[in-house]
Amino acid sequence: MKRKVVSLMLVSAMVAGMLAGCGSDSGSSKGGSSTETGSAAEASSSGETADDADDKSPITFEYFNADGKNGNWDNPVAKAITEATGVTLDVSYPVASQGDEKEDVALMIANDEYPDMIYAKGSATDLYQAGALIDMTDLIEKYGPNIKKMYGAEMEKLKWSQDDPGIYQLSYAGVNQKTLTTGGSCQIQWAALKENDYKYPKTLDEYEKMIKSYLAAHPKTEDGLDMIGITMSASDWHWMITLGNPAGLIADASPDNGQWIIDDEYNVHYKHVTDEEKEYFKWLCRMYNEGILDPNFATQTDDDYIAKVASGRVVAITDAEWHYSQCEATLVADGKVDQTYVGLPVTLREDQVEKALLYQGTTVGWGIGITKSCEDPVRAIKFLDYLCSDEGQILYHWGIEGENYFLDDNGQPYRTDEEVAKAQSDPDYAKNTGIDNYTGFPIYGTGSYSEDGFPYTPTTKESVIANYNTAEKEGCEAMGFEMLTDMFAQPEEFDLLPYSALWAYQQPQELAEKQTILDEIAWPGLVKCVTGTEDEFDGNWKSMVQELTDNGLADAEEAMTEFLATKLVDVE
Amino acid sequence: MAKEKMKKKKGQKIAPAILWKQRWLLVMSVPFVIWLIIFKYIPLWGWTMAFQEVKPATFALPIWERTWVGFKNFTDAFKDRLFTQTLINTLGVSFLDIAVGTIAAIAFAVLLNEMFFMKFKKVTQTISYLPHFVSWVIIASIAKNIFNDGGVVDSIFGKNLHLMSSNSPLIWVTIILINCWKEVGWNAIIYLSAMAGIDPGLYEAADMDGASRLQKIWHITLPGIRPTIIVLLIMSIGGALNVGMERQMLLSNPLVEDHTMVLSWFSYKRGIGNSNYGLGTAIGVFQSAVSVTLLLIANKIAGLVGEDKLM
Repeated sequence: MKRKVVSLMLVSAMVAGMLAGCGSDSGSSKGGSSTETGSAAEASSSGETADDADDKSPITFEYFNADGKNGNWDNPVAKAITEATGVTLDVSYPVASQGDEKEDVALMIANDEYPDMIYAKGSATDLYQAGALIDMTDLIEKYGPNIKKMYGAEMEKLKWSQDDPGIYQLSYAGVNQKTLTTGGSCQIQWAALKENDYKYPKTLDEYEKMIKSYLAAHPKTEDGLDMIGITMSASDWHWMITLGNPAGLIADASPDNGQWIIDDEYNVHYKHVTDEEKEYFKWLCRMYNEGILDPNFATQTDDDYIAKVASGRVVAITDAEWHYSQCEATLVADGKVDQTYVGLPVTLREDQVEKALLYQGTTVGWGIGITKSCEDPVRAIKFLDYLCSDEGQILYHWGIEGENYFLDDNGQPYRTDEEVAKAQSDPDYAKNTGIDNYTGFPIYGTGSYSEDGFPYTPTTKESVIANYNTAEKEGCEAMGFEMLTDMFAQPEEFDLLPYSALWAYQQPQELAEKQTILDEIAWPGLVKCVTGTEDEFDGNWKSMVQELTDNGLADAEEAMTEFLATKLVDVE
Repeated sequence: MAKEKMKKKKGQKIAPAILWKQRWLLVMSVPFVIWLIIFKYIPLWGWTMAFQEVKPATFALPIWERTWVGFKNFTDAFKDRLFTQTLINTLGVSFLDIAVGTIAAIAFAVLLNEMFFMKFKKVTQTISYLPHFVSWVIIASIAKNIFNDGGVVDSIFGKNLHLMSSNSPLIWVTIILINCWKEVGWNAIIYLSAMAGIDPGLYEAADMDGASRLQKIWHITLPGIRPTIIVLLIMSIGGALNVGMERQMLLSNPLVEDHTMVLSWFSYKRGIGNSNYGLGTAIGVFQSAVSVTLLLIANKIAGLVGEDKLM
């Protein structure tokens, strides 16, 4: 009898738990803060009471950095910034390990609570529509002489849209950037190029041959690991970087405009349906079936990918420089200099021109903004203004004088060899010194100089050449180049484009939703095309294109063309 | 609950005398009724969002100042390219889950029940329900190492099976098997305790009549736990649409998302993910409506097979 009672209790307890579970539906928790009537305009004007010209009292701002992984504010550069402005930043970054900020921002909006300053990458439209970002135009006019100086004529581009000329964000991208290094459209290990007598490939065929002949000669690394031909990171948003973008760069020979290619009449097309891309993905499919393309490429995490590339066992990658550079630091530190990568101007056909060096002006659309939760926008704008000043820029790019860099007799800065080596090979260099550690800050680009001829960044043409590692130096010499970028079509060869990189513009939500649907189909669709057999390829490709067509391909292209038309500016 | 129980005693009417007789029981239930109203019914007010356009631009407005859009959010949801597939996934995964899970749990419980060596039985039982307490985050990372392209399973078979990368219902099998492994021990507890409640006299009588072990299982054990099975089935069918979203999200990857998407996740993805809160709420409302319907149907069926209804 006792047992029966116990069993009955157990059953009823679990049943009760389940009943409660049935009743709780996902719709119930969303109606929370509907009574709040926060308005952005109020918040922006309330800060003016603290209008003290040189207020350096300690203040802490929360800063959400969608691109960051180092949230520390205890390094020398950060301390120097605090000393100059009184501002301490409390930095947070996306909780998702893949660094996708979308969910974080969505939750901020749902709670109607924001950090004081935010660099939200592609999610800024949501913040703007929620009224979370404040218009900085007047603040910049009053307190931001250095911001105005930095952006100069490009200030126009920072305006939100045709209908709303307010400035809600600065730009994360370097102003007056000179492209001194590039990853090109795809990369190969220096060792492989060396074995090919430094005859670098220009077409996909040549690229394939080089990979194969290197693999045949070196089936294993020195550590005894199997060599891999090509690998990719395709299980999170990096699929756009390693799977999607190279397709556009190689097959369409288009500059990076995200998921789109733009023709001469400024018509926008979704790129994963072109015949050239079909040819490229067919090539990838063949590589996959021949075992050149890593069989694990589709499901491995980005961390796996980074670890693989950093171990030196991957002959070739189709990646962007900012993504694989962290691997190179490790490779250099491990003494595997020949296993670092050289960016290549590879295109599908010989008559195409690779456009890595094409400069589209400062990328706008992604940048730091001030939110309505910020109680002292004036201090915030002054903080940003300080960052834009020469002093702030030199501090942020060069570090502390007498520690990270020194001045020579002519007042020109230089770094010790030791420091340079550390910057190149220590993966924690940015974190420990604070130099270039906080993505999202407004910056001058590499290779730019102040009015009195002071280089803003340690990276200048001379320094790039001086800092080439042994593999790169040998390569330059053997190929007869001054710089590695000489391999590519030079910026002067291209006409100026009347638009910045399309991927960074903040698009209206309806447009973004259309693109989301297309990407949702293309991502698994392309992977299926690649991982299927070669016989199935045509069928797989056709069904993917069909599905895209059925789900608003034409509609999205048209809307995107209209959107681009509002962004065109006059170029001289 | 109290009222319902009273109704069940056949022939009894709710008379003032009975209410008075059970006044303390009623008083004791008051806090729970209040709890239910505050946490389960008042939030239903949020369902109004399903009939409004609620995007970041209008989210901060008071409810009466937002635009009412009628059933637009619902039609948008139904027209979404993923909607039909999501519904199929939700129903498919949950019914397979229920079927496989129930059969496995009962079988496991029967096996344990037949065990004479008590120490071994206890140890086995403890080990078997441990995975229930491990977070899906951990289970999913382990599972991915095993099932991913080039993972343990692929290595064993020596070829790429694409368990986690082919956009097909193949991923259902993976998910259901992992779920079954994780929950079988825990679910068996209920059946085991129900078996413990079966009168030992029945077994003794069967022994006297010379019944074999299998015959005892078939004719005594299983019929003995029949009410428990039916009750649990009804409950799980009612919750069929509430497939655990975190499980689906964690075990999935964007390559197989078309076949792992379930309604609750879909609501999150289109609602929070695209900042279209009205649409997300509409999907949630739809999910609740279908859940209630399923529960009523299951209850009716239980009545037809001659077991006590729950309601």
